[in-house]
Amino acid sequence: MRFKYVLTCLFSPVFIVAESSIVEAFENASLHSQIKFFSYTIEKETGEDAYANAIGGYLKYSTDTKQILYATIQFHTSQAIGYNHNPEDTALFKDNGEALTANSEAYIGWNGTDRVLKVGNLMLDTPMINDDRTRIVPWSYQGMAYTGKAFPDTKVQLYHISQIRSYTSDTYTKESASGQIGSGITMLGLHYYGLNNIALKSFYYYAPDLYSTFIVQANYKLIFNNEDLFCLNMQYFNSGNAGKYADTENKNGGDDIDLLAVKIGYDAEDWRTSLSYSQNFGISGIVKGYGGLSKVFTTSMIANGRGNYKPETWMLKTEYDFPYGKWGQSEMAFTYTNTRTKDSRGDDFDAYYLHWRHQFKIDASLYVRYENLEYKNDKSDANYLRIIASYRF
Amino acid sequence: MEKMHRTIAIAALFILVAGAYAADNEPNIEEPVVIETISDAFKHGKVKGLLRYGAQHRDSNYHVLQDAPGDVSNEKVQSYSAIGGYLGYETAPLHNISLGATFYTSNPFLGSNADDRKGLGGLYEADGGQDSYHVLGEAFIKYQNDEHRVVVGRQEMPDYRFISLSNIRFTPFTHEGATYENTSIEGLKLNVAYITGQKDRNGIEFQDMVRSARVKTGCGAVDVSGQCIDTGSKQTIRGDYDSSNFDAFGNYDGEDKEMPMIGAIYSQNNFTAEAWNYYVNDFVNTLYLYGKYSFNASKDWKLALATQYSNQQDVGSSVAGNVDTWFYGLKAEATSSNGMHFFLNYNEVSYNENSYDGGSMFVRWGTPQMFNSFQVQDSELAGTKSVGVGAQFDLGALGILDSTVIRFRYADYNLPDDLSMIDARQDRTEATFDLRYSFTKTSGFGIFTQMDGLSIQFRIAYDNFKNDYDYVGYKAIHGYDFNSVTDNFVDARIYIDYVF
Repeated sequence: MRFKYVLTCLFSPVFIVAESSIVEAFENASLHSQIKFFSYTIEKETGEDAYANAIGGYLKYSTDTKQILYATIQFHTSQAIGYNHNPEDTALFKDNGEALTANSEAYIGWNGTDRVLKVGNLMLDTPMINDDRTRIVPWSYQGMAYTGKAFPDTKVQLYHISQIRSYTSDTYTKESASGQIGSGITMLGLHYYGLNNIALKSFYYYAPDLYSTFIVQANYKLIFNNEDLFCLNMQYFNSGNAGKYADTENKNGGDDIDLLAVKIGYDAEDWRTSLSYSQNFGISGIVKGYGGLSKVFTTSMIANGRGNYKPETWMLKTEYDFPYGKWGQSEMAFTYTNTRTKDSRGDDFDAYYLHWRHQFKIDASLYVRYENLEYKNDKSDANYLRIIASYRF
Repeated sequence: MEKMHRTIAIAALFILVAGAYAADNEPNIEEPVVIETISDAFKHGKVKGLLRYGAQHRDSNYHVLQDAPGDVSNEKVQSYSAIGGYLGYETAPLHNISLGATFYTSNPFLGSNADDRKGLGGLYEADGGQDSYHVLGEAFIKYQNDEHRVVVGRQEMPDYRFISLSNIRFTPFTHEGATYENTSIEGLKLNVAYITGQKDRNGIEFQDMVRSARVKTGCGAVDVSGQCIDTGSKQTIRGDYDSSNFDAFGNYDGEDKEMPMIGAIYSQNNFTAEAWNYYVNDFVNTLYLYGKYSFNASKDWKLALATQYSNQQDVGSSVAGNVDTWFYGLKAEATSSNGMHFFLNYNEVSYNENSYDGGSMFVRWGTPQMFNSFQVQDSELAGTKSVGVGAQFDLGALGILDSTVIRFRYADYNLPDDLSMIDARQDRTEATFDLRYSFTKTSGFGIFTQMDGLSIQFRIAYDNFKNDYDYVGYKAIHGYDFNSVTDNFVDARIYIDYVF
């Protein structure tokens, strides 16, 4: 059998060298890159402070993605510069605080009519399996991902993940954010957009050795004559089917997630505001899900309503865009989060978040983020400051 | 299912690779771009990439001397099979300044990559197995004009003699530091560098220049006076040294040491002379001299004579104890205008029991420079006297077989083997055969020539070790086992490369 692989390997070029359409795959290849500086400071009353500075980014190369077959490879790296203290707590590097370089994408893609299949190392974007780009190096996944139009007005996603690489590791393993995945995770996603102003999404994650999760989300939007937008969104997460690796009380995910979230928002020309509410009626948290950061409406930089022990969270967000100036455009945002848990083991807290983001050009930005968490129990209050400068080309 | 995925993936990858080969034949005419802004520099840079399938297999009854001294386990098979390569980008120069970065990767692929077959260094081995690795091997800022070239950061240093890529596994050595090259005097090239670290071929970190030289006690842990705790193994360090610089496994664990270096290459008509000096703080100074004279013996034949000499001495606080050794080499070669090349080499290395490992040269910062550094044997061990011969044929130029180059080599390595010699080793011979096939060139390339497009390289070596020694007698005299015993073995390698 091994000999068969070698033969395939050796003689494939000979067999298909005459495929003239393949020529264009490399002629129209593309390269994308980003350079990012990331400074992160964490202050806690207990003295468990951490700070680190990192420089890194990514390099991504794809053959012509319009061809039937194409290939993509992407590397991410995060290298420490200057002084740091407890750098492992910033999650900018490896778990031991050392520099991190990872292969985040390496896949073969197949394009069909209204469908695409990718096999290899993938960066994904689903509610409970996603890349989480809040550091320099994202999460990534090994497996296959099919996306296609199955029915009128309906998009289908069928993914199977066999291994996962966390954002602080360079190795793909069977370890997810919330435990061992054993035989893997299979996801079915349905997106229906056949109704005016309403989008419906549903996801089912089948992980027999960990826990399975069902998600449904409905987004309603109303656009006024002046192009202002009103939205009303609802989402519901429910998990169960505990496998041998499930941990019910795990804050990142377990077999007792029962979370309902609602968001109401209004977007005007230069400001946006929203009020979100969520309650997790279950013991399990949903902070990182299977990998990345779970996409629950009540999510700020650090504060969120995704924790374990039945948190109930209110979150008020508002953002304002300054007028364009000579040096680009700035945006400011403020978020207030109020979380109270219905279980005595949980953490009650209030949080205040501010950010200033300046976009010099479409490819260069500076982003300053600050959040303060005040806990109502013995847990140490904390301040988080991130300064991120990035340039992409 | 997993195997099916792999088959599909292999086929698809090679479809793309083969397609790229076809694309290479198309003329590529580009308008010159004027770089006026940083944005222009980033948008009009150049990509370099290598997609490589590489595999190596080494089968011996005992372990190979160079790779794991002390390991004498039986039935030793080492192998890896991997896919990967590199992807790099360098911005276009703006005011002669550019930035560059290159990622290198190797990943298990097909074949046998069992943990107990590690040791060759094609995959990541530091965690005890054979796994993937990804590393930012280059990250530099460069200034270059017609006469000056300055590079600061992580970089490939392909032609600094004792410092080089040694790209004979899956990914090359790269180095960290600053380099300066000057070509303002016609015929003379000056090279100055300050090297702070080296990334091993399958490493993910840059290590200082003592660790990179693979300095070891040879016997594991040592006591405060520097004596071996395990008296059954030979100590490689000789003379006074600070034993606190070594860990419980006998590996160097002291302060990081840098390497300032300087080199000059002078070329004129048929004559080339080179002088290099590498100074590793508190460790060793290496002097390397090289000269070559070539002349036309007839209309179709060109002859050349070359000589080399190197000397290593400990310096500063001598973290590896006494180092006092040298080697020299002589070479004669003949090259025909239609693609034939023959050579005859001789090398001799000093034997000095008061020097580290009896006078073995430190050469692990790049490709060993000895003329008789072949596929497995490097002729760097204490007291080695080696004679090597070889022939290379460009079959395309000879009109026999287009796009194909083959090479045969044979060397006899005569090592000190008297029972009274503490650093005695086995005599050995090595016969090698190399083949390179290019999908883009019909002739005019060598076994290691850098070429765009698709090429295949196959290499095989047979090492024959003499084993009729009185190992028991040696142990009776010196008190410990013969350092390592190696039986005959075959070393085979294949690379399928696509460079873009």
